[in-house]
This record gives sequence, structure tokens and C-alpha cells, in this order.
Amino acid sequence: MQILILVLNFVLASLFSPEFQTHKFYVSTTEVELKKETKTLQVTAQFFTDDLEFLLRKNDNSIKLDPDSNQKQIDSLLTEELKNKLQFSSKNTVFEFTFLGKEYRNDVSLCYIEIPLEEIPEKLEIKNIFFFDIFEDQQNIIHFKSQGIRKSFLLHSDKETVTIELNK
Amino acid sequence: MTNFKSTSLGFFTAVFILTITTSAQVQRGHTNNSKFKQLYDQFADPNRYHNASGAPGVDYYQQKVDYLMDIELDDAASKLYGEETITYTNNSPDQLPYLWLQLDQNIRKSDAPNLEKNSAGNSVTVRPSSFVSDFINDPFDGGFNIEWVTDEMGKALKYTINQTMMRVDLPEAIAPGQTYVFNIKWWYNINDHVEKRGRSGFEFFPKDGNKAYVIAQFFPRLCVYNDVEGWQNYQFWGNGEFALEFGDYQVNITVPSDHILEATGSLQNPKDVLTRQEYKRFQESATSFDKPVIIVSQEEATVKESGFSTKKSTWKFKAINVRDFGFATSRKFIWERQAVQVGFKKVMAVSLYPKEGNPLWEEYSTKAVLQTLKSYSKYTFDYPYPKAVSVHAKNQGMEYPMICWNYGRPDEDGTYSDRTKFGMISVIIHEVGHNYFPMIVNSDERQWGWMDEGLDTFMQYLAEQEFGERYPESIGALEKYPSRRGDPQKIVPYMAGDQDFISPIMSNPENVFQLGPNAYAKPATALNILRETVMGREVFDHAFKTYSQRWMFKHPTPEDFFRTMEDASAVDLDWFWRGWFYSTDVVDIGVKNVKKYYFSDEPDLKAKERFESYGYDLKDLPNLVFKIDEESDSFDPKVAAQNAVDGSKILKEYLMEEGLPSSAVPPKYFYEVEFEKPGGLVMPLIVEYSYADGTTERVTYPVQLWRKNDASVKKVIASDKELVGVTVDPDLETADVNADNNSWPKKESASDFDKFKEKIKG
Repeated sequence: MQILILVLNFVLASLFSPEFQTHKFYVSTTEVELKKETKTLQVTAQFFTDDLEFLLRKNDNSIKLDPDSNQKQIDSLLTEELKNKLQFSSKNTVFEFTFLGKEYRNDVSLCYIEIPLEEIPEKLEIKNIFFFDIFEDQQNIIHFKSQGIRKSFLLHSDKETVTIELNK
Repeated sequence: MTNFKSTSLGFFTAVFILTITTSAQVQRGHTNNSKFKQLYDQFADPNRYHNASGAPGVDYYQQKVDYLMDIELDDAASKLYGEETITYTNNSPDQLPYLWLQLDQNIRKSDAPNLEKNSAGNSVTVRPSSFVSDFINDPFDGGFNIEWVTDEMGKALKYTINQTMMRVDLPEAIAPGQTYVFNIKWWYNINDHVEKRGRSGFEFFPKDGNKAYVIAQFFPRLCVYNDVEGWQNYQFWGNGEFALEFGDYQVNITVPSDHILEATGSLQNPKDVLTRQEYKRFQESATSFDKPVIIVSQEEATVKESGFSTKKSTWKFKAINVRDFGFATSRKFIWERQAVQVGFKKVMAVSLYPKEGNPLWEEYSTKAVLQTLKSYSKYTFDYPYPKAVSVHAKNQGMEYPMICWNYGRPDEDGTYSDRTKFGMISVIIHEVGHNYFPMIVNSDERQWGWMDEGLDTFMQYLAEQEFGERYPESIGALEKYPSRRGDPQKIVPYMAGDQDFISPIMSNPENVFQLGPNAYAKPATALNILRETVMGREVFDHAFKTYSQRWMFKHPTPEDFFRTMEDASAVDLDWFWRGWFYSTDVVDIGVKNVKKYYFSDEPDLKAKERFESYGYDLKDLPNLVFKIDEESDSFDPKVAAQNAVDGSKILKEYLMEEGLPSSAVPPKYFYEVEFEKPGGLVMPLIVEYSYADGTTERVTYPVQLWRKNDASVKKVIASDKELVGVTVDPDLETADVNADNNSWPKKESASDFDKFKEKIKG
């Protein structure tokens, strides 16, 4: 059975092999803002809608985004992807989050996530492996902001996480 | 006024002495580090080939390379065979003992070094697809098989292949002004461009067993030889595209007789290769200016899909003054042509697509080609070639002279999203637009990706906007065409990113982290900002057109572009090129502080202390007027509410003595506004002042404001109206990476997150 699944994976993989467009580039941008006064992380993750649709079609090839073929199904699949691939943690504990919803703007999708914190941790670890499994050249930009402090990071398949010291 | 002058002189003398006496340590000197310094240290010196105004110099030369080719496609085996006769004309002043040719197909050789150009990294994930290609499948047997290279008489010539480059050694050097003729015979296996990637190859359609070919980089091509680099034989590693010579082409292509074929150049034998009905429509299309004529319809193309003819046809093309040659062929192709008037010339706008592209392609492809020709010609030069062809390839966009491949495919049920539609229109405009840059204004793509991609993406933005205006039904309820690149705000996420992963625009395409923003979006945005904010449309457009026309059918360098933009406009832009093209600095300009003040005859504590520290006694000094601002100990809000000069008898008397007309009332309010510049880029300072009566005033201070102080500058606002707000860059036209410091009083602009949360609350 194990072997069968592996083989199936390969068949699927060739169906979904990364589409190469000479003029297309794989980048996502995630804005993370720490609101110290309300102890929340506000996250806006921006993906190309084409890439997102391509990813979600792994589950169901009839899925269409903007307009959505089935919003409930898409939001639930998307929440699952976000949970697995965009993680915020401290001391090896991954924070639970609320997926508030998404918006389409031209060719991009903006996904909104809110994370309540019990207390502000010393170090925040952000992991973003979106699309690393399907696009070889995927790069995920993280912009972090807290009380006027701004920091930017680039995550790619060689560097999946970044740690931010919050007390500095 | 005399009083003021003598005091200030005395004051400055005091400061001067103070500085000297307290400087116990000697300060280190430095070289000129002004952001406004001329770019002599970066630019190549002008010379007799590329002159100081950015135009071709008196000794400018260019090689000419003409090709005569017989090509044959083996459709069943996916092989391409060719025999070519190359006529090389040496217009350089140099002796050439050997010639270099590009063998781009060699990037597909199973042992090509480019396969190992990237680090494996330490990723913990493995993509199933790359697992298969890396460890299981046999590598593709690609690359040129060179059968022979001979001289005009058929005598073998010695040649050496180094990766993607081939050197042909000549028995005698080609002297200046001489012409040399030689022949090459070759073949190669054509790759599946959908599975194996690449700018050239075929797409296989499993449902009907057909292939659609888009063929390019398919023959050994001469490298550029010029005064800048000698032989341009930088290897093809996959990202840096092509640098080629202009010449005339005669190409005969043999394919199955049921194929429809389009290529660079004019078809010489339409009667031989088309059916009678196709030929009739082909002729009709030449004068059809109002709509395309369908030469092969979807119905006809679908019927042909099961034919697989074993007969052959040879399509003959002639192209004058082109730098490359590409073609597309399949029996699946639907074919349409429309005539369009560009200046004094008639040009054919052509689309070629399999039925899988419909209904999208019949609706928009030819329209997009048409718009590109019209818009680009307006800003550069009249399109000089007889046609422009847009071919549908599943998932790539790639350009060649007169012909390009474009993506944009509906779902199988024929429906498509707005994204697919706009993506398709945009890529067609972009790739057809490449005819101007670099097919005609022929910069060195392998070295400087931005010179064609950046300029083309900038022009694409203008053409897209004009497409939206011309075909309002295509954009539906949108206010304007949703351009993906060009709008200053859109480059902010990239420019604000981690500096460890950003390269200056002036970098080789192989050596940048993100080619998209680096070679396309950032230069396009920079030019858009130059046009809209720095130079103004009229001045910019003239300079841009001058550059385009100067370098038509020639090889410009980056300096030729930079110099021409200044030469034709009288705008010094060295600061702009240095910041935007040679560095990774960002724009961040803000308003730091606003202080209201009035005038008084009495000094405040700060003034007293300062005079004391200089050893002056105020009693010894002539009449002075003091500025009392909001932070001063003697600031009196009641006085501040009156006219600013009311608190100073000295100033009032002086104004009267000067005999000013009674109607000349001094302004009521005075403000000192301080601007800060945390960002490294200098930019014009655009400010909106808002007043209590609800009016606003827009001021643009020239960039030169920053030339003596790169960190902060002050401006005085004297007005009869009370100042209530200051906003820097109110229309977001400078790509400012941080809007938090852009207004006084401070207001944090609501983030997308805030707005969304507000929205879902209802």
C-alpha cells in the first residue's frame, strides 16, 4: 500500500509538474504586525491567485478561485494549507490562529489571519513553506512590523523559518 | 536690514572660531560621496563608437550576418534538421581569425553544466516531481548534433564547442570590410516545452495525438562582435537571453502538408502551401482593416486533427534586417490576420492558436497585437516590420522578431477567469512589445536583462492602460486596466525586502535573486516615476523617443540610454541612475516636525543661552528680532493667535520704514516644517499642506533640496491660513517604503488587515 501511494504521488506530481513560464516568477508576501497593546499578531498573506488555485486543485481538480466555485470548500482547504505551511510559534509551540477570510485584488489573493497571544514571547518563529513542494523557485517574503520597527526576511526552500526577537 | 546683516556676520564668525578652537582632534577627510556626484566612476568613457550624448559615435559599426536555411521537421520523431549558409560581413576595424556561434540547444545536453548551476541547499522537503526528474527518469537527449562545418567550397572547417558556444577557426582572418561564407549542417531532438520547460519545443495534445511546435534558438547563430566586449560569448546559462547580429534571412521550412505555419518574415509562396480557399482568405486579409479574416477556422482545424498527412510542404520566408528567426507549426492551428495602419505603413496583426485557446483567443489576441503596435509606435518609432504574430503556447511567454509565444488558456469547459484573460492580454502586449526592445533597439540581453525587459514592461504599462480605454468592455466594471507592474506602490514589497536578497538593477540576470522584480518591475516602475514625477510626460517622452530612434537596429549600452535621457531633456539624472539602477537603496521620506512661531523683540531662554555661550552680551548687539516657537519657554498662545509680526515692534517699524504699500500685509502664521529622509534614495519632495479653512496646497520641492543635507531639510510656511496638516507623497507616487512617517499630525494609515476586519464586522 505504501508503494502504491508513492507511485500515485508520482503520477499526480507529473500532472501537477511546476508550470514554467519564462516570464513568471514565484513570490509571495506576508505582512506580520505585532500589536503589543492587544497582544495579537495580524497576518496578511498575499499569494498569486493562479498559484493558490493550482495548489488547491490537488484536492479537487474542479476548484476555481475568483469567483470561487465553492467558497466553503475552498476556505476550509485554504485554512488547512495555512495551518500546515504558515506557522507562528515560540518554544516549539505553534500558535492557534483564526482565519478571518480572504480578498481578491486583481491577480492576487489576500488571506487574513489573526493570532491572539497569551503573552508576548521573547522570540517569535515564523515558518512559511507555501508552494515549496510544487514550485522550485518559490520565495516567500516576510515583512514584520511592531511599534514602528520593521524587518524583512526572505524564505526559500533552503531557509524555511526565521526567528525574531521581540524584546529588542 | 543692514543691522541684521552685520549681526549675522558676527554670529557666524563666532561659530567659526568656536569650531576651530574646540577641534582638538583632526577630522578624517573623504572623497566626494555626494549623491549628486556625476557618474564618471560608473560609466564607461564615451568614445568614437558610443559618444558622450548617448548616440552612436562617428566610428560606430555593426557586423552583418545573413542566413540561407533549409529546415525540415520530422513530426513523428520530434526531430529538427537544418542546413544553413551564413554570410558574415566584417564591418569592424579588426581582423577576425575565428568566429563564435551560439549553440543554445546545448543547454539541453544531458551533461550540460547549467544543470549544476544551483546549490542543492539543505531543504527538508522534496518535491515529488523533481525526485522523478532527478533520480528516476533518463535525462533528455538534447543539444545540437553538428554534422559538419564547411567553407564556401565545401571544405571542412575546424570547430571547437565549449558548452553553448562554438568557435569556427578560419584558414585566414577576415579582414575589415570583407565577407566570409560558410555552411553548417545540424539536427537535434525537440523537447516537450510543457514538461521539460524551455522557450522552445512542442506541446503534446494527448486527446488527438497532435503536437504544436514553437521553435526558436534552433540553429547555430553568430554572436555579436562589437567595440564594447569584442565577442559577446558569455555562455547561455538559462536566464540571460540573447545577443545577436542583424541580417537578412531566407528560410525554407518543410513540414507535413496539413500544417499551418507562421514565422519571422514574409511568406514567399502562399499559393504553394495553402488550399485555394485559404489563399483567397489570405489575400482578403491584407486589406481587412476593421476586423480579422479567419484563414483557417476552428471547424477546419478540428477536422485536420485526425489527418496526419504524410505529404510535405515547404514554406518559404524572407525577412530583412532581423536579428533572429522563429517559427510555429501544427495542423491544429486556427489562423487569423488583420491589417493595421501604423504611420505610413500597413502591418499585418496575426494570431495562431489551437482550439484549446478558444473562446479567449479569437476574442482578444489580435486586438492585443493591434493595440501594442499602435501604442508602442506612438512612443518610439513606427513599427518597421510587415507583421506581428501572436502564437498560443500553453504556459510560456517568449519573443522573437515579428513572432512570439503567449500563454492564457481557458479551462476545458471553455470558461476562463478574469485573471486568465488579463494575464493573456498582458503577456501578448509584453511579447509583441519586445519587437521594439530588444528586437529592434537591440541591447545586450545576456548582460543586461533590464534594458529590454524593463523598458518593455514600462511600455507595456502604457499600452495596457490604452487597451483598457480603447476596449472598455474588456475591463468590465474596473476603473482601469489592472496592470500588474508599473504602479509605484506595487514595487514597495520588493524594495522594502531583506537587503541580503536584493541586487541592483545593474546586475547580470544570472546573478540576481528575483529576476522578475529586478529586471522587469523595478526598472519599469523607475521609468514610470521618472515620467510622472521627476521629468514630466512631455520632457520624458521626447527623450525616450530620442533613445529609441537613435538605437533602432543598433546595439545600445546602458550608458547610451542613461546619457540620451539626459542629453535630450536637460535634466541631470545621474542621482537617479545611481540610486535606482546602481544601488538597492529605498525611498523613505517623512515629515518629522512642524513648529509654529512668531516674532518677538525679546529673546527666549534658548537664544539667551546661545549668545552667552558665544560670549556675547545682548546689550552690546544691535536690534535683533527673535523667533519664538512652540517649544520655547516664552511661547505665548495669545500672541501666537495674532499676526506673527504683531509681537515685534522692531520688525513692524522696519516694515513701515521700508515704505511697503499699505495693502502689503505680512502673512499671519509662520511654521517651520522639518522633513526627514531615513531612506537612502533622494527624490523630489512632494508635500500637501492642509489649512484650517479646508483648502489644500500641493508643493513639489526639487530633488536638489537634499544635496547638502541627506538626512533632513526644513521649509518655512508663511500663510494667512492656519496649517492643520502636512502629508508627504499624498498620491503614493514615489514608492515610499514606509508611510508611517508621511503625515503630521501622525496618523497610521489603516492596513489591509484593519480594513478587512472592519469590513467583515459589517
